[in-house]
Amino acid sequence: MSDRAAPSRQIGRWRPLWLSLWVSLAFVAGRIVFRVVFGGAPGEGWLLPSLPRVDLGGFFSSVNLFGPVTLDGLARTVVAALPIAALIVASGLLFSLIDVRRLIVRTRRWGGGSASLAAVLIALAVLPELRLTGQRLARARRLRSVRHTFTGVIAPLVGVTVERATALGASLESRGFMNASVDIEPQCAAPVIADDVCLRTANGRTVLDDVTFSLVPGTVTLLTGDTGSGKTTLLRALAGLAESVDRIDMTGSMRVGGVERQGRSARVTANFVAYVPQDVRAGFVGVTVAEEVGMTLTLRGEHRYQVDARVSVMARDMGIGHLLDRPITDLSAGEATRVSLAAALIGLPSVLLIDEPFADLDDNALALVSATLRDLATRTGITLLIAEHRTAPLAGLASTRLHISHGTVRAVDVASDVDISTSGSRSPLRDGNPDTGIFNETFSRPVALVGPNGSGKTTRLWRLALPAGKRATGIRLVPENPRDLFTRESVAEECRAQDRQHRRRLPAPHVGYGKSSRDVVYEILGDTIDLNVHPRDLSTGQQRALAIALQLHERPRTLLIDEPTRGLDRRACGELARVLERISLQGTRVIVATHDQSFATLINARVLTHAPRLEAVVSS
Amino acid sequence: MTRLQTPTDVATTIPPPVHAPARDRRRGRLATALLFATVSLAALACFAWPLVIPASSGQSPVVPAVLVCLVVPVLAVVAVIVADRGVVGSPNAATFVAMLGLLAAAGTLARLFASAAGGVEAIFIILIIGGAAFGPRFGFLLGMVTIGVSALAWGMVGPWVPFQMFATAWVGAGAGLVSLAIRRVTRRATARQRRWSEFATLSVYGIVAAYLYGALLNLWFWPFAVGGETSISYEAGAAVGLNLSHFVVYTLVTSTLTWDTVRAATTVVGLIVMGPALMAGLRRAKLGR
Repeated sequence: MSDRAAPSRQIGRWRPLWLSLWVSLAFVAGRIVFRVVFGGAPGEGWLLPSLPRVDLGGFFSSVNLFGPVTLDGLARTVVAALPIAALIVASGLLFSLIDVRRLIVRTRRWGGGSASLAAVLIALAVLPELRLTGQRLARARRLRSVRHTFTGVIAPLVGVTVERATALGASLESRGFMNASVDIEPQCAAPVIADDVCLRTANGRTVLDDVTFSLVPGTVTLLTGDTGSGKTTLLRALAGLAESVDRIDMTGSMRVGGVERQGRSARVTANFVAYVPQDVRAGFVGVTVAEEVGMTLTLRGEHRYQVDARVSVMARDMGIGHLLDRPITDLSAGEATRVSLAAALIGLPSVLLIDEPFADLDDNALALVSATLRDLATRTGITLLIAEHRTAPLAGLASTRLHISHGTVRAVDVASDVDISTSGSRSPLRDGNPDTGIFNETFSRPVALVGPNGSGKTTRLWRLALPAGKRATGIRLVPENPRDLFTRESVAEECRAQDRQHRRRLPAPHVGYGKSSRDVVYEILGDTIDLNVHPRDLSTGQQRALAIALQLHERPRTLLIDEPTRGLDRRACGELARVLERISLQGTRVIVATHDQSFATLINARVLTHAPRLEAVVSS
Repeated sequence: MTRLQTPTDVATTIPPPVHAPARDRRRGRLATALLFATVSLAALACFAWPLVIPASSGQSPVVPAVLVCLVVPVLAVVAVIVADRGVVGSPNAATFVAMLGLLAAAGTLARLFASAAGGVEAIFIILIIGGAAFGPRFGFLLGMVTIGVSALAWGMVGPWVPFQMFATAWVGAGAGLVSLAIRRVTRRATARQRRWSEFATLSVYGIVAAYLYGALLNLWFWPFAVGGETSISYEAGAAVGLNLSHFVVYTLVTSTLTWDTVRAATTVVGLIVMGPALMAGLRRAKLGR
């Protein structure tokens, strides 16, 4: 790994020395105290004020306290302590001169093939990020009006940590971490052959059944299907992550490059299969962009000069050369997607699996990424499988399309617009009856705040919801990552906590709009939802709907929603639009911030291109 | 996991995907456990050198101490390699490692706040719950990695680090063993009873571990901390009982009644208040024990 890629030192070079100086001072002081308390410091010279000697009895008969204290005795104590103090300072000096961290980072194979050293590297890499996460969650906590127990503070932190660990593990696994350096020669003629594959979760739910298809080498295939229909599961099964990381049971035969997938985790095929997850940021391993892009090669044990050379070539090809020195946390959504594509491509895979690359890109970034994919498909012989519901940018590129519906995969015509809106059997939202509805005030149209990624929409929403750091009355925000709001272990507990808070605040007859949170959740999510499920195990769309339900409970005047369509397919967008319409009908003004123009049209919103005059709109 | 067939066309080049047969696995686990116990015992002897080494009278304690300071890091490396052995081959090695890294980072942050808050050691809570959730091996490595990372991150490096690593690792490994044992004992109980008994046991374990941890870390350094001239000094060549009485006074005064008590209280309160949430959260990670 290069000097550039090595993590920047977060502490001063001489910090170990300074700390060791303090420690050795404390050590000498401690010696003096012990000397005076246990037996005094007798000797010649000046007698200092001292306490009379006390003898202990029994088991401790040889111990006595206090006694005469002389300057000479103290001086001898200090002199006797000096060698050890010098040793402490010497060790501080030693570790100031050699940078252990850089030594570890430079080990030829990442972590030297040792689990613990790799864990040390990961810990050092995520340390700054973990602090930021803590701050983010603390901010999100203030958005909800629930009384915050200690558990409520811990639970989201643990949730985020576990999710990040799983994503990171998958990312390392698919790049060949701890592969016993066996390179398999893939059969390029048959990149993917699935025959009667069935995928089941650990608790027996069948995700996909009777999956039979094959991919033609060097082509682009689209994978479509509803949110939560199993696109990601299929991709992860192909990548070799379903069994090893997600504990999905697989039966039937699935061969990638001629290698039977069953029982073999991703690392076995890492030299020719690459996987780009949906939330690319959660899988980032490196500290800098350069380190991240070169990670696959580093894990293969290639020399760092060679890694550097290939990283800079790849970066130039992907148009991210200017980002190489950036910290990995400092990327926009489009940049992050391109960085992770580069990181996947640097290992020269012959099969590339990409999960929703366009999910949170604005138009500019989308154009860039789809141009990259187009270039990739025409220039190289890679077999591409892309799960995506925004298929328009890939038109003309894909030669085949697989569609998931009713728990199975079938090949459909690329051009056909497979009735996404009507297919699938998942519970539609209950049609709310405005008469018995939650609110009965005047109709107001939703407002859509539109602007490109990074134009400050989110900042603005937060400032509206938490002016001066305190929750504004009558304004509730559903943040971009709705999971941050969840503090309990099941949907039911989440509802109960919200209701309890409400009851405390208002006398019984006025409880909200006469409904429990559970009813609001049912109304918004449909009544087939399992209330005992962990909020973090819900699908993205359900999570957002749950967050909306919880934030609606106190009947705010204004509901702010940041990027409501992220991770949703067209059908789920439609459902969300109906929910928002109903909320507006019932008197809550809805303001969404989105980069998705079509969603703004869908909800019939008054579109405001992001401008710094929004406060006026809200207060009017 | 009994899918033993490998496709013939690629079988020659690909390592077999399945795990070793159960008998071999059990034997391997036993060998690892024995090796591990030996290394740990050796390390424990090094911690207790003032009581173990019968130094000839008149000899300065520096020689055995330097020896111990050189041996313990080597033992730590050996122990980590032994514990690592089982991780590398397992199917979810990467998730294991990632979880280890993230919890170690969390522990490092907790240690930073602990030093600011005067001995309120939250790291013990993470260690105990981590060990209980993911097993003794994870607990052991978590202790080692957390201390290693915090030493690197905050620049507190010195001869004491390997000792701290061992003591912390034992706390984590012990939590794993305690949890395994209590779950085996309460096999027939209801889920609720099992959870309660597990947390009750872990809380008691937390108190014991907090005091033992403090005493162990005092033991190896005590001869130097007080020097040779006080009435609680280490006396080379003296009877074990005499040295023990001196050490007991030392550890009572310096840590048992102060730091260790704060640590024990923090651990128990922490385990009761946030243990269940932590455990439930961690067990959502599909990481077998």
